[in-house]
Amino acid sequence: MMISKTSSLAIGWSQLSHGRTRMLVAISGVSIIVAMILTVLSLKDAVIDSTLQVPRSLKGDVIVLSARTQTILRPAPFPRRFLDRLHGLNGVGEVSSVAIENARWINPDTRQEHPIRVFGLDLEFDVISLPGIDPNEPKLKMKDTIIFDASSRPKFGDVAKHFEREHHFATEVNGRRVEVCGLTHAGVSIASDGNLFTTHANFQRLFPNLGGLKSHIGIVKLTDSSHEQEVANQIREMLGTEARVLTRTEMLEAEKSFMKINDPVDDIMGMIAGVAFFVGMIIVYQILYTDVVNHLPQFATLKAIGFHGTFLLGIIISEGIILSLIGFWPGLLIAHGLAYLSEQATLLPVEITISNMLGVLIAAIFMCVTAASIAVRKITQVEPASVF
Amino acid sequence: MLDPVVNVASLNFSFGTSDLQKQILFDINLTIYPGEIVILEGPSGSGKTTLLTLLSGLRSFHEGSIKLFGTEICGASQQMLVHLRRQVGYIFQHHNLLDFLSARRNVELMFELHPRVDSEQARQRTKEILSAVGLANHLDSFPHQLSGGQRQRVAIARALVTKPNLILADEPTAALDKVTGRQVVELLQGIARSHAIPILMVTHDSRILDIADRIVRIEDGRLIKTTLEMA
Repeated sequence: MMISKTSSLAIGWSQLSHGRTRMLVAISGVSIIVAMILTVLSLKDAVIDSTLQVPRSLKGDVIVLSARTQTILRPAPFPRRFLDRLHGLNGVGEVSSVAIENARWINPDTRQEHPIRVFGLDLEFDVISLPGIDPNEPKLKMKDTIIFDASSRPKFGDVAKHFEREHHFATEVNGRRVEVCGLTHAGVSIASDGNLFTTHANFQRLFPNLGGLKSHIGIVKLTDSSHEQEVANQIREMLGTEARVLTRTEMLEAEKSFMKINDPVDDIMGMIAGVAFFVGMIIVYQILYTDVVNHLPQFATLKAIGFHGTFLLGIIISEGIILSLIGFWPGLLIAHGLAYLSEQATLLPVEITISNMLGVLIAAIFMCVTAASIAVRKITQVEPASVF
Repeated sequence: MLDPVVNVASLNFSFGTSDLQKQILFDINLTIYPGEIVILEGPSGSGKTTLLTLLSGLRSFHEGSIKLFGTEICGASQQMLVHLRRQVGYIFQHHNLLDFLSARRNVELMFELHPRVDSEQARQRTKEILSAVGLANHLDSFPHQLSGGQRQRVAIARALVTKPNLILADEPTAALDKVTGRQVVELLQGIARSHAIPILMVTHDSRILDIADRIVRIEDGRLIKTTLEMA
């Protein structure tokens, strides 16, 4: 067996650590790039996650939508009789519906009008799992009461702060005086800057001109949720082409892919991460290339003596790997700091997930190794005869 | 008689092709036997260095023959050339030591080419050879901490540590002053003699010609004179 006495890794390390300043510069470069990519990816996840918060909170096993509905965040209405017919089906338990419309909310501080999304819920059934809705159910049953989404954008006024202090907040929605009776956290999306939740009855009071209550999202609970696919098929058959019937899992997947296609945030963030990756590669390349060029006569000598090009490549590649492995950790630390800051600034839950961490670590290694392999081409080109 | 280590016969070599062709070496014949110290001298541009690169298999040629340790290198595979080169110790005009490795590690690095030597043995031999060139106290010094002569001595240790069958030295004194150059060459001579390693040294430093067993002069690409001084 061949045992290497001086591995490329050890030599690579010696070469790197010999120029301490240069190594520190390279490591900081990698760290900053790692931090940037990690933060951007986490922010992207946070934005998508926040958009999916409402769909995820729906409690049904099967979701019925209008065939025209592309995303639950912007649902088209369908007649309520669709849902009434479902009661006869085997395996179908509770059936209820959510109505969604945009209303005009007046910020009492500025007297300015802003469109806000109103969810009409049938509170007879347990349809949505958001904090603050169940405990406030009795109050919500009173006339003209609503629950306000505290994650709404600030333009709606200091509702949450005000309500927490005085346990009271009133304003006008669609020209009707309403009373906030509780707060929840649902999250904003491309479809809405703010959300209100109320009962069907109050919903009809806010929208008197719609000609009766329409359904936007049908929520079907099954008696035995293990057969959701079969029941979903039956419902699909019964309702025909006018309805879109999805299991809960299918609905969440559909929402996610809709977001990916239609929300520019995914592309923009992806592009920023891509640019950062590229910049990182250039930084590492520059540093390793300088290193290679400065040692060209020595490398040529080693080649003339009988060292294989691959051994020398190994040295530079090792340097790349070392840089990425060391640079990753400060980068992770910085990313945690940035995640905390952006959480404060955007109110989005920015979390650095293990899978993002691993992904970025692999990307960092790939980045440095690619940079090293480009930098090393100079060595393969060097003519060993030139040292004589 | 022992088999020759180097056997060059009727070697011609040109740079370039067709119209721009310039012939550098003309009908070279040279034989070196084990234990011999041969100096190849001549003015610059006479083709000395080209001959060394040919002997090392770093350039290909088409006319004539070079046998290294009995193996023909004309048309030999790259793998074979590397194999042959690993049996040769090289000393260059510039030491070209890796500045980020200590003297010890620069020398030890050579055992990468000889994987059958275990690391304990490698360490031991490195220490011995560095002591033999008078650097026992500088094992862990980096090149920039050493003088020019000391660096060239590390380079000599590097060339000798793997017990090569031939030493090719390309103007080893060119970057050194007279006294240091002399010392370095005498050191090389001493070690080569005690291990019976033949040396082919290219130089135009007339002050060191006396260490050779034989001096071969090259002028305008032709070997013109062979002085045999062997006893």
